[in-house]
Amino acid sequence: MANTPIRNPLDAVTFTTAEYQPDIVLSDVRGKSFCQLMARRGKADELAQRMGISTAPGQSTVTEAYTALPLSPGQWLMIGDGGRDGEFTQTITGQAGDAGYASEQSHARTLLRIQGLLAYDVLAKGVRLDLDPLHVPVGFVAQTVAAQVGLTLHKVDDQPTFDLIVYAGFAESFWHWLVDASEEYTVDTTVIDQG
Amino acid sequence: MNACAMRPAFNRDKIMHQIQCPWCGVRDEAEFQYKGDATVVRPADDADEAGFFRYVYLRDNPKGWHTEWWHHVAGCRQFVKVVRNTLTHEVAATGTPADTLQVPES
Ligand SMILES: [Zn+2]
Repeated sequence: MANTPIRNPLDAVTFTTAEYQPDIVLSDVRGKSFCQLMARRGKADELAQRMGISTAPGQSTVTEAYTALPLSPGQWLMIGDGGRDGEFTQTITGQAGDAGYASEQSHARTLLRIQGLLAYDVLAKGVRLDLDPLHVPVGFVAQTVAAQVGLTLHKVDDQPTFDLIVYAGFAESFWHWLVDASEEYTVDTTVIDQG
Repeated sequence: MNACAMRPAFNRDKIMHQIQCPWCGVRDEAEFQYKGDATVVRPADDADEAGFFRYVYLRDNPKGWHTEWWHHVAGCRQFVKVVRNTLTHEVAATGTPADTLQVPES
């Protein structure tokens, strides 16, 4: 039986480059690996120590190998490079040992990125959190909802760059909302392939 | 005393529509799902049918302070214990399921 070709959730989308210097850059970041890391009962601290990640809520840990986003006590969304071959999850599983376990999510998540100073204004149209840089430092992580789609938000840098991780099945709908919300500004839409 | 006289002065920190999740911080009420009375206690395994009937089906409908479950479905997906005034929507306290929360006197 022939393999089904790998498709991306945003295959149906047309990406466009602005005529002028864009205020906003929206990207579909492809080739990422995702897994959900969960501590076994009572082993959250041990797992965090073993992985070198923080147990603090709302704050990411970024290393060479992965980005860890806290989801709830003893649970992290781990993001690495490599795509959907399962290798990343196997590595994380190995590192977690008997303190935790990882479940493969690379097929189930999509990472969309918004960059530019006006990203605050765009996100304010849907995200119910105060993202004012006075309150929200680089590394801030929150699970919330925007445009009726659940998302994990990560402030990557002060440009600002926000990574928005959504369920793959909602990615196209959410993308259209992002583009729509950005349209009053000059916007570039791109694909970043990190596979 | 009529309901209007009992309504406390408007306080943005205390109105409903914002709930302090112990893990995520202050969040919009729309991120939560109401999960009912947090004070019901499961009867012993050998309790009679009437005891289980009460546990499963019968609830008070208090006017005033109520300790209840709110599920942070759009956030950390944990259950949050909330002391809420059913009349004014004021939230007096929130905590984890393990917390014992102080209920204000009416
Ligand atoms: Zn929460």
